Amino acid sequence: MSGMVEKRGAGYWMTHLGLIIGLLFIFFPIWLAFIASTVSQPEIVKPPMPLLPGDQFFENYRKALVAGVNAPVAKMMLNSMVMALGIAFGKIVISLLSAFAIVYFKFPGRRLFFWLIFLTLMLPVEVRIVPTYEVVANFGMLNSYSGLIFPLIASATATFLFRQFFMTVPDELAEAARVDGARPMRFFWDILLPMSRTNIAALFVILFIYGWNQYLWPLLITTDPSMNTIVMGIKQMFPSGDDIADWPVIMATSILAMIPPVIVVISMQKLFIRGLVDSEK
Amino acid sequence: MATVTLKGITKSFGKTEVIHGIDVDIEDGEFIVIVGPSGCGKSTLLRMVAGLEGVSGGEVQIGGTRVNDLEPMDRDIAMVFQNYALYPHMSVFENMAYGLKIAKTPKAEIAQRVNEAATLLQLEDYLQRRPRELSGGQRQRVAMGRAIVRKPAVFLFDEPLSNLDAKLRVQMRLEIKQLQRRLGVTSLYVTHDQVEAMTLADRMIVMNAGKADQIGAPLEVYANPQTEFVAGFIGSPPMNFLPADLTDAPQGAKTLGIRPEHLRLAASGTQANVIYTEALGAETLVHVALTDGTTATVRQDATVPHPREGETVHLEWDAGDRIFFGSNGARCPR
Repeated sequence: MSGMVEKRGAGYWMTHLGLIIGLLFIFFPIWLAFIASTVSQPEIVKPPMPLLPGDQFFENYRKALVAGVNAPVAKMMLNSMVMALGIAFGKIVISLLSAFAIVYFKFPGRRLFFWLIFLTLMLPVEVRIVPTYEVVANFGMLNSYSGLIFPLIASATATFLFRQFFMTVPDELAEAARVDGARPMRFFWDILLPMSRTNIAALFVILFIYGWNQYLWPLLITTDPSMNTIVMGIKQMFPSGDDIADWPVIMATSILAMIPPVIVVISMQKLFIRGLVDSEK
Repeated sequence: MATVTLKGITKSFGKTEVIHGIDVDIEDGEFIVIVGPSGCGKSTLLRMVAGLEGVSGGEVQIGGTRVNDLEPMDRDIAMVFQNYALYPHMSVFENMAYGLKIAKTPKAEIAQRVNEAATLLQLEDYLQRRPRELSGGQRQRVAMGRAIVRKPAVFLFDEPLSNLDAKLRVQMRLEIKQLQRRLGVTSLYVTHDQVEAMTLADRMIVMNAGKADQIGAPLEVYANPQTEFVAGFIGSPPMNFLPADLTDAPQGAKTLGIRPEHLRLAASGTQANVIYTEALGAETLVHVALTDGTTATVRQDATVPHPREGETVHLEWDAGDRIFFGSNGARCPR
């Protein structure tokens, strides 16, 4: 009996040891990035690389936020924030409404439209990026927030997700609302929307990170450095030719770029997990 | 409070007609139970009265007005659904108040009406709870409360008790009946359970494959079934159908129907073999097989000694208890 407990105890510690090593392994590069953002340029270049924070923390971050390399990081973060929020909210609103239409209304071509939306799932942004660029350029939306947001706002995945969720909502609920006198949009607002709360939260987290991490699209359509988003901005900071890379500032920017997604995930973690696990019926 | 009239109601899904013309006049305050096996169209009929299904032909009138083209909310009805259909994110109070809120009833009146209904249904202590924190019976009450607060002209019940356990079902059955008596609201109640139909109904509509086979008071339907289907459906255990001696039967008769309680085990008569017996306490059901293989049930008092399995017995009945049906299933006139 005692032997069994001992064995279980050993397994317990081994598991934790494994997890801790794994965590350190993953966390180490981020730690290095953080260290690099707190020391001066000569210190980074001179081996061995320091493993403890230096004294340049405020200096480097101030420099990044205010001046940056091409554009101030504060401006780039604002751009990213607008884009990520715009995409997340836009996608949620549009896919909620289209899923509502597809599930609750009978109209000619309903199936066709659903499958059309579904088909776009199979075409990633990269495949349609040239024609999309053409359209956006013709609308004069290069170097603008609308150009950053609108082409990425239609979402087959989210529509599909909400469709599946709405289909699990019992028909009697819609009928009860009808008997209670709720018109369709009233039913949508009062009943469907509150019931989708956790799903919306889960999607918001995923879509916010999706929008924040967009790289190729902003790279194509923002030529003006003041419209750059932070994720592509980091790449833009890398020197070309003989310029010297300002690694401490680049690393400070990288750390700054990680903060908003982390805040979103942590603050919505509870709702997010509930949204993925159950649908609260 | 209102009368409900159905005139030649039909319903088709595509080319298939599922309801073939139903006529019934329901009086003000009457409790009507629509009963039938699954797939007979009873729920569809109710949903047509509610306005959740379109009417293919005929006319639905509530309080003398044609309502075929009105939305459910404009028909002055309230409905209780089989799975209760409570809004999961709203409290009991909000669930009951929702219809009134949409109708823009003043807040004070909403509160007053909901509290009244809650008192009636013993839900006062649960008003702030969510539906998922309630038991099945309580949810059932909330669903009824939601119907009551709207003070409709007609209550529609769509198998409201079928998700409850047997004991609770009996209890809620009584409560529904008392409530309906107290409020005096015309009610239509759909069920597949013939016991519910017998106990609740002022009159019942027995449906079979989209037709109303018989409309009448429960005991009348029990004593004088108009078709073989009704005879077999109403009553538990069902009526026995014997291919018996038809010499003195009316012309066209094909089957002899006789209720289990009208059969007796006797010293002589039709010979049969006992398959098994069910002692239910107050009564005993003796299941027998006739020589040609037809099975029949005899219901006898528990005080009468019952035969053992495999024993050969004789069946006997009074001529006056016989009911004859023709080859089309319809009752033969005496």
